[in-house]
Amino acid sequence: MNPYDYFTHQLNSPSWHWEIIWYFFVAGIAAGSYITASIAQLTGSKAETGGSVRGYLLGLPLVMIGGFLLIIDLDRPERFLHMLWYFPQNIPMFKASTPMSLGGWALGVFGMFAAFSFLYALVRMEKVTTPVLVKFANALHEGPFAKVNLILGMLAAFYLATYTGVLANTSHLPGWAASPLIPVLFLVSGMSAGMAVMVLMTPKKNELEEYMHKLERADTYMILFELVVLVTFVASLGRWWYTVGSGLYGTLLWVVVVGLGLLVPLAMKWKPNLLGQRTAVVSSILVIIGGYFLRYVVILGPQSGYNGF
Amino acid sequence: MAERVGMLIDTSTCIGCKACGVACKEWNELPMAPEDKVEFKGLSYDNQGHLSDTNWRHVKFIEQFNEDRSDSRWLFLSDSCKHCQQAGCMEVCPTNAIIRTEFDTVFIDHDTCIGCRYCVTGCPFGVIQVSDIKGTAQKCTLCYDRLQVGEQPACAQACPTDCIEFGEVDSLMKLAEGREKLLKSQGYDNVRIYGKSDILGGLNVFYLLLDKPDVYGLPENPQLPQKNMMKSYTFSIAGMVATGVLALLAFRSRRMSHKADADQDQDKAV
Amino acid sequence: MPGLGTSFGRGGATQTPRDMAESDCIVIMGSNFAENHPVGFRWVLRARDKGARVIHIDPRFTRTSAMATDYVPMRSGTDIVFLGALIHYVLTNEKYFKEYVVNYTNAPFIVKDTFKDTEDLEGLFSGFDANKKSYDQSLWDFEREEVKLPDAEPKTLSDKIAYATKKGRPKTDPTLQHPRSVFQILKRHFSRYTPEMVEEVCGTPKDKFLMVADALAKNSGRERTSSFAYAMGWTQHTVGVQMIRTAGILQSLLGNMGRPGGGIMALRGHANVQGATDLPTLWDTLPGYLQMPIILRKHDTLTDYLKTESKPTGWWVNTPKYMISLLKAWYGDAATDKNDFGYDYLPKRIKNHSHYNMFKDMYEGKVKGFFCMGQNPAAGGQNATFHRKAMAKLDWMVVRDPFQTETATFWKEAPEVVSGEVKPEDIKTEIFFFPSAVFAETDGSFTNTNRMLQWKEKAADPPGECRSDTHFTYELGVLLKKLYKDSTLDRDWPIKNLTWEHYAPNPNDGWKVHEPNSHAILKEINGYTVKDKKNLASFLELKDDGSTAAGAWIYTGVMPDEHTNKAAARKGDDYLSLGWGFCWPANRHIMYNRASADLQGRPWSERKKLVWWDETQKKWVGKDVPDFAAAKAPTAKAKDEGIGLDFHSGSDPFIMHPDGRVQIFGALADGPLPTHYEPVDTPIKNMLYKQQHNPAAIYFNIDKNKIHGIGNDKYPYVMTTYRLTEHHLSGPMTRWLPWLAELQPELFLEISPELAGELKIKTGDWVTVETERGKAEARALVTRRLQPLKHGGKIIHEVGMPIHWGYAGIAKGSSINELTLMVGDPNVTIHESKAFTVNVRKGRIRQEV
Repeated sequence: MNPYDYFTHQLNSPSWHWEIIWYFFVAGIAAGSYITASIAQLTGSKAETGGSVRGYLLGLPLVMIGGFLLIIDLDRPERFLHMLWYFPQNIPMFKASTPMSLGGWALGVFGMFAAFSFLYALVRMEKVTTPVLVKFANALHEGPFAKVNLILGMLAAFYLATYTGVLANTSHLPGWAASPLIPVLFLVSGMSAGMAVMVLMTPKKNELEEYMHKLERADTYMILFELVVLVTFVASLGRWWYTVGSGLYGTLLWVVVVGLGLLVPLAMKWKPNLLGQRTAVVSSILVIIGGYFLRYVVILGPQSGYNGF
Repeated sequence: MAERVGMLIDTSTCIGCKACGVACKEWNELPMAPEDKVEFKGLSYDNQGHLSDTNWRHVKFIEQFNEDRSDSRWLFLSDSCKHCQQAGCMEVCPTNAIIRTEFDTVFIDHDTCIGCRYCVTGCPFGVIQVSDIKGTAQKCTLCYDRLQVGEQPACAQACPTDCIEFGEVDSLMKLAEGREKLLKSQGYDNVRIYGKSDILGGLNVFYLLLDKPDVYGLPENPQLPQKNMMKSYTFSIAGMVATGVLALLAFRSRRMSHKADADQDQDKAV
Repeated sequence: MPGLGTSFGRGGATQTPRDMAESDCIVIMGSNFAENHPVGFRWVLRARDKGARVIHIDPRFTRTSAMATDYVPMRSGTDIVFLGALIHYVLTNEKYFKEYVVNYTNAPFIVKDTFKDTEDLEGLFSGFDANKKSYDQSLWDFEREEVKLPDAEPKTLSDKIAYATKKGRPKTDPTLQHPRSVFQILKRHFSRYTPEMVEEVCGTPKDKFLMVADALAKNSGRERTSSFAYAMGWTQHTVGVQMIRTAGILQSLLGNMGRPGGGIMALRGHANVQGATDLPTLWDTLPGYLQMPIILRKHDTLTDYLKTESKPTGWWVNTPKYMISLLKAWYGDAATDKNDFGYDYLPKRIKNHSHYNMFKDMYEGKVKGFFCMGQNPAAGGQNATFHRKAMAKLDWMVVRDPFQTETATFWKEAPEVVSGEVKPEDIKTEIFFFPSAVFAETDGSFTNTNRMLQWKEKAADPPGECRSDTHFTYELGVLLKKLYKDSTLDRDWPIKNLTWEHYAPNPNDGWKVHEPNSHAILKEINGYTVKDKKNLASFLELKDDGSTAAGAWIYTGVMPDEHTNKAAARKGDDYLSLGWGFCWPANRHIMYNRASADLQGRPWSERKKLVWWDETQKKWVGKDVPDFAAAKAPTAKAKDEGIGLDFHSGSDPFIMHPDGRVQIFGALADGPLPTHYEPVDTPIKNMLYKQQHNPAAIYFNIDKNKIHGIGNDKYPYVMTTYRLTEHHLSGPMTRWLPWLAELQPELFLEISPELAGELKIKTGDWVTVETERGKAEARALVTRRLQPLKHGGKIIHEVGMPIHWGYAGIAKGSSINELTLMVGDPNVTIHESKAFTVNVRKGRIRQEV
């Protein structure tokens, strides 16, 4: 064995730990729920959107938590503004070559759209009644600007959900660099987890059954798609498959993520009364847990064993 | 801009004395590694193991002996930041804290760095680490402060065998080519220059190696991390379309079928 | 030092590292050049780049081997067999440089018939007294012509002494055929040192040996030169001095001495180790290699001393001038011809007072107080436990070092104290620790391995109470002189009259800490006229009448006038750089360089020209300062009646020696020719002779200092000790420095995978190494850089350990000197830590219960 083997002994780990795992996780849910709610908003009836609008409650707080996590992960958190402003020359800090710079902006832009939708949700739930705000929120979600607002918002959300994967992939750690499928994996997982959270948020009401049904079906599609993407991803890692597919991380991936987080919920979708009325709840919780551990495995596995981990 | 300066690391004359590393630490006031990491590592005579926040220079000791010792060699490589023409760390830095100086070297501005650690993995050579104490990314500056007053880097000055030769890159390259020719004529068949323009547009700190780069733990063909980025974005867009379509399909399907499904479900539940 | 001195006349390295770049073949043996002398090693690499062979012969494959073109393994302690076999090869294959050998060495001299060789006496020479364990060296003299003296009356003291002690010229046979000629004796002496014997004793494969022999032969002669480099790997043996002698003989036979790229590079470890020997810190010499008076020789009065120590022919005829100038430097106006210049007040040695004897005396309560300055015997002394026991018997001890070394803290941190065997309260020694300044905190000079003095300027004041050794010694002297000021006792004369005041610091030197006046010290060393205190430019100006003073005659010329300090000169060039620093003697860089020219004074070849006779200028000229009488023509005839250099001809290059030639045959305490004896701890018996070990070796029959002897089953492995670039000596200057401590933090044992496999040891495991003297624990470094060697049918495993650790500091570990043995070479009383036997077992010391 060469103790200086380039691929296994020479590269450094960026020491991305729980803050980044949680950030990737909440950003995924924020984006997934926003996209789901927006699609429901654009396609569903008034009755249905009464359910989906609750999804809009997630984006803003999760983005704020995510931003907070990102800041505390920095070794110099007091300087987080440097991400947006280049003080030596007093110009905005925007750099297309690094997903992290775009991601920082995306977080802010998505935060804006999430704030609009958050307001809209409060309006629909009659928590906000100030006429100006009601008018503003409705215009952006039901009125003439709905399509523009939601499509732009969804683009920001899509970026937020995928860039974290691009970020990891734009690196030299073999486990991250080997496959360009990480962003897809994070997106699909964000979607499925986001939908799962929305399932949990939806109250048992007759008028929401139609919506629930569609939501659960969408979640099923996402789980199926995620399974396909995950298997393809591991295969596409080639010789680096072991960084996520074996050892501690492999166990977590195959048992928790694939088994408990995807296959079991899938079985529950197929047999919706497996655990009686709680089936949907349990399956959603499992999907969410699976979503968390997917990031845990994909973020930590490839760093493990490298200097600085 | 001043001339493009750099260093030639001639492994044929490196005796593994580590004076370069000590001079580096002395000039740059770098501390000893954390006490729990100061231990016998069993990596030949290398007890540092790696470039790090406290080791801006690191000497590798590569023992290669076959069983009967008929083929035996002990190679040394004094390693540091290469000050690449296409610098991965610089490309990924989200705050432009990594800049190119008037000497064409790559320098970390410690007032701008936020400690996000992205550069750590943007570097194809594992050069950078973030300091636990300072919270900013650490690596060789090619002694920027010394260059500014016309001095050569501390390591080059300390090197007793001129293995580390500092100078203007083009003339160093000529020197290296001369050395390569000489060593080839003396039977070092695998000698080569590592860091011409084919490697990341050229390394300002480049090497004369006695064998293939992987013998020294150097990548054969390092790339900018951005090589992955566009592919990754492309897949992202595909993923976006696929998930979008799937979600749309789920939400836009005909109501009647839903109704029927729902009825069935209800029947079962009763 | 006597290794080179006996052969060539001076103990210093005969060339400079810079000159090694001119070599065509460099043999590094008994040295880890690259690791321990990295700065000088650049020139070896320069030579390699120019196509030179660089051969490293060593038990371990080291960083030096890595840089060499060829690595040759051998067993520790068998160097004389290897080198002797090279001599045998050169003689039997007629590869020697005949013209050089006949004219520049004593090969044609005829030895008296009282001499008997080891061939006749089974490993002993004639004249051995088994009780005294010493030789009667008079039996080894040459057959001589009758003594002739000049007609003129002697004028000076030196002349008188020379007349009184003059010997006749040795008889010679220039055909080298006389059976008692040195050449024939040499041939016979080394006849059993064959390549097969090398394979058997050294474990070196025959083809590798022959490769070395061939490379040396091909790269010596008129057109090419080879050079040897050695260090502690040769000196630290009971036959160490003779190892160096063997190389000296070989290099003389090959005609490599005194020529560019030729010679023997004695590598000194510390920046100032040469200086410490020159001035000296040795127990048996005075500055400039004058003998320290001893009661065992006729040294009763100054005249007795001079008659015994000065040589009537050759350079040492000047001994009276140097001795009297030294006494004048020390005692000033109080030293007059009436009181023998204070000679009687010099302490007289009564026996061997070397380091080990001093500690033995300490242990036996004879030595009560001890100044320990820049030394760390608690970790660095052979059989360190004994050293600590000895120090525990002192009344008081002063330790001066930058850090609290093992010696300063042995009373609370030594292994025997930690284990509870010894209680701190039982150690009565009162220890005073004085923190010392480091090199950059005082100005002064270093004399490096090329005998070059280089001046350094003070860069900073020392912190706190730290002071330089100079400062401490000066202040101590001032206090002592004050205490004895009013004494009327004759014995206090040297303290009262010691010249001291001129060292006084300059309070306006711009520093907060004022150092003694280093320029005044240098001037005293350089020498001056007593009357008007004028600096001397050369030791040729020294007188034996008390009109000159000089603290170390070999350094005279370093400060030729009040405003010139040649040690501080910094004018380099692309070869010898005569304008950089000052090389003693007289700024000669390559000693004996007259030998670079042929009998007629012409360079042996254009390629190897260095110094030659210029007929038009009627003097010797060249790239170096000629090491010869400047205007003595090569054709000058030797005067049989002459004294000093007059006794030599214009083609006798080795001016220090009475006969002006290399002493191929030269008396030392253990014989006139090198002979292989096994180390005192050895795995196998001596395959060459019945005599097993050096018959004159010095043993210390003291507590726990047991020898393992030959083939001791309890201790089956050969151990060699060595140094690492990262640390210095026992580590007092490096193990406390974080940047160095982290580079080599722990003691380790280098072990071959073959032996490690047998003992089930893996890299990183703890191992315990044991001898009769003690135990040391270390981490295992399993590496193929060590290899088992075949000796006949027997496989011998060798292991190695660096010497740098101790129980204090940042990088802590066992001292390997817990294992080593106090035993001495008969010439210089140096120990044998390069080759002894040990046992190795897996696990730590304390797990043994």
